[in-house]
Amino acid sequence: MSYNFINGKQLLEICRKEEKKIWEILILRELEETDTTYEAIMERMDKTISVMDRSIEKGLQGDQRSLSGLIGGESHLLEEYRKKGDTLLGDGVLKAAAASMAVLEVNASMGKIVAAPTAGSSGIIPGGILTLGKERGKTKEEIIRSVLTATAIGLLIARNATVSGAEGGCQAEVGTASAMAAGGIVELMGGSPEQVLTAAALTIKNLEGLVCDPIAGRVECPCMKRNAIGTVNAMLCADMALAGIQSIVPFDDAVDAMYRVGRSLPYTLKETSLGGLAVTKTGLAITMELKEKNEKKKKRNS
Amino acid sequence: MKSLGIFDILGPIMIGPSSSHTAGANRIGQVARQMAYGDILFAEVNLFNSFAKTGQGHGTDCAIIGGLLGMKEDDEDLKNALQIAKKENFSYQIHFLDAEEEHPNTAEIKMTLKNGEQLQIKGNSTGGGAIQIVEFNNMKVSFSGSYFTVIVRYLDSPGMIYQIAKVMAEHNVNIGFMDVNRESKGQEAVMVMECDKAVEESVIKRIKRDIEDIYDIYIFNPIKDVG
Repeated sequence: MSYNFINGKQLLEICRKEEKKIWEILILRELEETDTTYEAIMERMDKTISVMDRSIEKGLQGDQRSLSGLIGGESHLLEEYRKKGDTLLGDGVLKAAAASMAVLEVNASMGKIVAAPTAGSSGIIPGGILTLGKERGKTKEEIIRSVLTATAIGLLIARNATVSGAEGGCQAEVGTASAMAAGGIVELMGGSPEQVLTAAALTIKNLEGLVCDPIAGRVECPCMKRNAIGTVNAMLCADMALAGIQSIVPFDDAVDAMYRVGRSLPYTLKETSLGGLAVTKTGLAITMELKEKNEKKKKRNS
Repeated sequence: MKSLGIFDILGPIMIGPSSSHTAGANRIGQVARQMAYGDILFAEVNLFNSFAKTGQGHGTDCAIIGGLLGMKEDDEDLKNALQIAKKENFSYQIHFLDAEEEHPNTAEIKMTLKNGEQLQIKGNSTGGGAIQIVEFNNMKVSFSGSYFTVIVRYLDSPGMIYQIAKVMAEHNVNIGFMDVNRESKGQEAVMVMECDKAVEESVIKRIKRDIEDIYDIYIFNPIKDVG
């Protein structure tokens, strides 16, 4: 029996035939492909999740400043606002969004994070899955299974498209992380493997076409807030899938569309900072200012 | 090519903000430190292209100096690496350069060791924290640092590859990837072997003892996957 699924359709077939969940198939695949053990995988998952947990906590304290000084403290502001009680999205969603921003603040200030799948999209899985898990009193094992389910989605996208902003734009980074989180959330809430892939498909479709245009090439603006929308999008799509809503375009086709859109995006909108927000009047002014600051620092160093 | 696994998607556990400009740069520094066995008197670091242009915004300078100081990509002190270097009297220079012929994210490290030896490596950061070492002592090489790696400097002559591989085989070491290069015929040559398991000191001693014209051998432990 080979567990080495290469697309979503195949993954679902294996799940049906073996009567197993996606996370179980992913573990069986890993055991088949490498010489690792079940215990080693679990130990590393445990460590990964604790790093994610700590990055949320650290970011929410509100004292992280990014290397450029462009961002820092926003997640704390959102949390303080939420605690006052009169919000539009409500506690569950806003808590998750704030957590995802917290991780990006930590990342931008040279703190410790887990790239999931990339550093620029590292807030979405912790924000979406870990925050919800805690809210709903889920066990560590349940959270690990949910993150493994998310990882299976990421693996399929990395294999059949790309998870790099330089290759596919932000839809490939934040879009992928969002799809991963949506799948993980469905698993956490007791959904079926089919619902996991439906949620992931809906998520990808919602963020299709999103470009990567960071100001001054920093993983800061708009990345932090994009992580928040990635998280909220994941929760919305998970809810839709759990409600029994179908994705008219199935997962594999959605991944394919995302990849083709990514390839046809111009070079200027793929992590080069030559287009979009990066070349607005504001974007250029910030770029100039940071450049001057850097030149001074370089002179001091060399 | 090896298929992707769980922790290729989930990870690395790293200091932000960028897997290529921070984690990858740090790993190039880690390889250099292992090569020098930590005995670095002075290091000259040349950052090229995107590493030079956007590197400081991504902490590339801290990350690479941190690697030279023995810090890994998940070390929370990485952001203070330049101050730590000063405190430990670690002597270095960083240059920011442009070179069209180089990979976008390239770092070259030239080291003077405490015993007077000079070492040079050049590495590329290829994305997601992965690296490729492309030059060693100004000779073209190619290895990822994610395997147990043995580098042998020797005099180019018939049968050297056979003799070295034979010792490895006798110690049951499987060579996954091998790369051989030389300055010119009959001059110094470099062999890089990426192996599936740790190569014991005794194997290295035997190669040095039994085979003539071996100049030096360097062994590395894999630097991938803190976690």
